[in-house]
Amino acid sequence: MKITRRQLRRIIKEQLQVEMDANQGMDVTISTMGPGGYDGEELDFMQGSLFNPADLLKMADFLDAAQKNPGAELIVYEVD
Amino acid sequence: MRITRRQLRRIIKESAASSLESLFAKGAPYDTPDRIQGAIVDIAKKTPGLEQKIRKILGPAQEDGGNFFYYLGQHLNLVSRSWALGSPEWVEYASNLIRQAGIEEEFINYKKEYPAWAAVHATPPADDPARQPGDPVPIDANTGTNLAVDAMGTDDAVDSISGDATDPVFLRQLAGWLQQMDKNPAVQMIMFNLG
Repeated sequence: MKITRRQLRRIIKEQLQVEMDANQGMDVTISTMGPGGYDGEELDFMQGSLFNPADLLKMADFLDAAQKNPGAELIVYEVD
Repeated sequence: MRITRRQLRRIIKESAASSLESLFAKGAPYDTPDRIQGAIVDIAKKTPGLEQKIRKILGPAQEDGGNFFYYLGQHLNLVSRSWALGSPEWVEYASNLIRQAGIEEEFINYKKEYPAWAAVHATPPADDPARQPGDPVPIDANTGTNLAVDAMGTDDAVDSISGDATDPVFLRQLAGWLQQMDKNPAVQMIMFNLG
C-alpha cells in the first residue's frame, strides 16, 4: 500500500509524543468473517495499533459495524 | 409445599453463592486472573477503602511500587500457577477473595456496566445451535483482551485505565484518555499490559 506525503504527515501528527511500553505487541488485525467462521469468507478487515488514538477510534467503529453486518458470523481479533 | 423463612434465606444465599462461583468457571467471564484483576481494580476506584482492605487480606507483595494493579496481579498470578484456572480450588480462592472484600454484589454487577463486553462474551460460539439470529457476533481473540494502561510519572502511576480491548465503548474512552495523558506534563511513560 502506497502512503501519500499527506497521509504520512497525518500519521505522524496522530502519534503520541510520550514514550510507550507494552508487555507484548500492540498491533491488532480485526477480521469480520462470513458464514463458516474461520473457514468462511473474510468480509472486511482492518489493522491498527492500540498505541494510536486514531486507530482506537477506527477499531471501535469497525467493531460496531461488524456487529451490524448481517453476514458476519465471527469477528477474529488478532494481536501481534 | 410451604417454605419456612429459614429455608428461604438458605435458598437465597445458595443462589447468590452459585452466581458468584459461576463467574470463575472455565469459559466464564472471569476465568483468568487478568480479568478478575481488571474488575477489582475498577471497583476499587469507586469504593473508598477497598484497596487497603484487599491489601490487608492478601498481605505484602514482592514488588508493586505502590501500584494496586501490579500488586493484585502478582498475587493472582502466583495462585494461578498452583491451581489450574477453572479448577474447584481456583473458583473457591477467587470467590473467597471477593467475599472477604465484601464486594459480591459489585463484582456480579460489574460487567453490566460494560454492555457491549458482556453481550459479546456471553454470546454462544458461532457454531452453537443455541445461537439465534440477531445475537451479537462472537469475537475470538488470539490472546486475553483485558487491557490495563498506566500513565507513569517519575515514581508512581499518575493515572490508569483498564477495560476490554474488544469493547468499542472502552476503545473510545482509551483514545481520549491517551490524548489527555499525552498533554499531561507529569506523565513520563505510558505502559500497556494486555492479557
